[in-house]
Amino acid sequence: MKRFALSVGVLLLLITRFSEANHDDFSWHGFVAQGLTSSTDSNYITTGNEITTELTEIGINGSYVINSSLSVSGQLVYLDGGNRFRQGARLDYLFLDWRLTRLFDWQVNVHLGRYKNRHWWYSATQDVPQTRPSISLPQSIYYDGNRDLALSSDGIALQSAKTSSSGTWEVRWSYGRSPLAREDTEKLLSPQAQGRVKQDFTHQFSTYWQPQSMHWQLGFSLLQSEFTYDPAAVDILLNGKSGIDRLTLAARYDSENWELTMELLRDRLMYEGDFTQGIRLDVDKTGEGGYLQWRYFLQNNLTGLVRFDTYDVDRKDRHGKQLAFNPFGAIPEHYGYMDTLTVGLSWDIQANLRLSGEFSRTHGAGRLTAVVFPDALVYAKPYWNAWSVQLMYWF
Amino acid sequence: MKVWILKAFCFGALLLWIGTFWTATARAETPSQPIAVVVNQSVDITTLTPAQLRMIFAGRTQFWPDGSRIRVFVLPPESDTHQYFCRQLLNIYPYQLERIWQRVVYSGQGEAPKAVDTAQAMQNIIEQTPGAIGYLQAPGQMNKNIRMITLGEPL
Repeated sequence: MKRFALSVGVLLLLITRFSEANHDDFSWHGFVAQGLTSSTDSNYITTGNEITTELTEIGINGSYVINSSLSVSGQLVYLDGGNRFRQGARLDYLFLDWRLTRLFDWQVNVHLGRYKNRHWWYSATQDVPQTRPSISLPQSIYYDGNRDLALSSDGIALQSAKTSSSGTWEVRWSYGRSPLAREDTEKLLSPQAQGRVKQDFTHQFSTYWQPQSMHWQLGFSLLQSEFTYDPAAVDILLNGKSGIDRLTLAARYDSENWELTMELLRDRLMYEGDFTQGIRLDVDKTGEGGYLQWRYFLQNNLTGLVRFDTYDVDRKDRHGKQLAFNPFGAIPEHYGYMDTLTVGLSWDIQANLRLSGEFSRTHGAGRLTAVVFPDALVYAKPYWNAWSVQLMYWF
Repeated sequence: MKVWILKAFCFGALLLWIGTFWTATARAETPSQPIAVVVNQSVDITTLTPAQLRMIFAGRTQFWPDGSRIRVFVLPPESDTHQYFCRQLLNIYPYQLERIWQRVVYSGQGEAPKAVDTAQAMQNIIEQTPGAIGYLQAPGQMNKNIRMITLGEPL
């Protein structure tokens, strides 16, 4: 909390100090988005099929150019997403941007501090409503339960962009860790766990290539992360650690009036630990999934979206049959997978004002939370729906 | 192979086919007018490659080689000149450029180009702003504060 308050102070100082000092070197932007949303036959967004206004996103960011090599950037966000996220304010990023080269053809930047994850298509701005293709991102890749973990980390990131007559090649690397709230422990593990889950590190690498024609962009990313459980004095779990290895493949095709986007992933999840009752926690599963998304620009200010998103918790048990034999209690088989079809429409009323709406039909519940402990599962019937309407303004 | 993979593939192929048909229709309406890249006289550059020009207008390169700031100006997205500039000189669609700017601005990596309303306003602001770069359709009289950039591979 102290660190958060300090970071907020630094960001506010940045905004107030420099907004008057030098307009050329300081810039600031923001966004406000409010909507209506509901999930039916699932507690993914709302509990008990109710319609809620818990679809609020407010953010402000500032950037100050110190000199031709250094700048500082940060963003504060308030988020209310129903059951999807921890409600409240957070410092999404605050980092020192060090430009190592000043060549036209080759840019190399080092980010120190709370850097943004830039390794997936939408991860760099997944906290900014008007930059997302839809109100909710595909859960196979952009799993809401991991939102704060995936968005940014405290540490170091390096990125390089090289362009030539054959195309543009980008390479990104990062190493850091994210602070986790108490609620994250409940989501990642179990509400009965009294201790705290801590992230030891997250190590990522990605590379993307775009040919000179600029229609295609292809890439892949790797992620490795480890967590340790810090038990309370009286606790059900005596010790524990977990790890994740993830491979993501990405492709996008841009045409005059439409874009086709795809990301595929394979992630290996490992849990180890000891419970007080002498039960040993030993889970090693490899999940697979991804999405195919098509956006069509119906008019200059009207965009349609169709997306198919899928995720299987265990590639060796795609229909969830083995979940009935889970050592911590039987889990319904529809928690072994999650397939979602989404349709959406976005209308740009003005250059910086947009109204978006979407509806999704889902089969399964395997990406609502970690599927290990029955008491940590988010309720959902085998088939369920969700819809959202959101008005967003940015400046 | 899971059934969903097959379904997703078929779905994607169908969309591609439909999209290609519509795209072919839309491309026939693209205008064709000569556009020149112009800079403020303070800029110590005479030639840019198409890739370098794209790096500048995509916000990836924010400083000239002498360390001074690059000030990028564009016309409104709906203008024919901007549409043609994106397609023919940057080799990208205007919505791709918009997507790049949003990413740059909202991930703390720089500033989007400033939009000016008319060609005359563009010429005036390029003349008055050190480090400025923009584009004009068939520029007429060039005064001492503004000049054209040659596009091509450096000698």
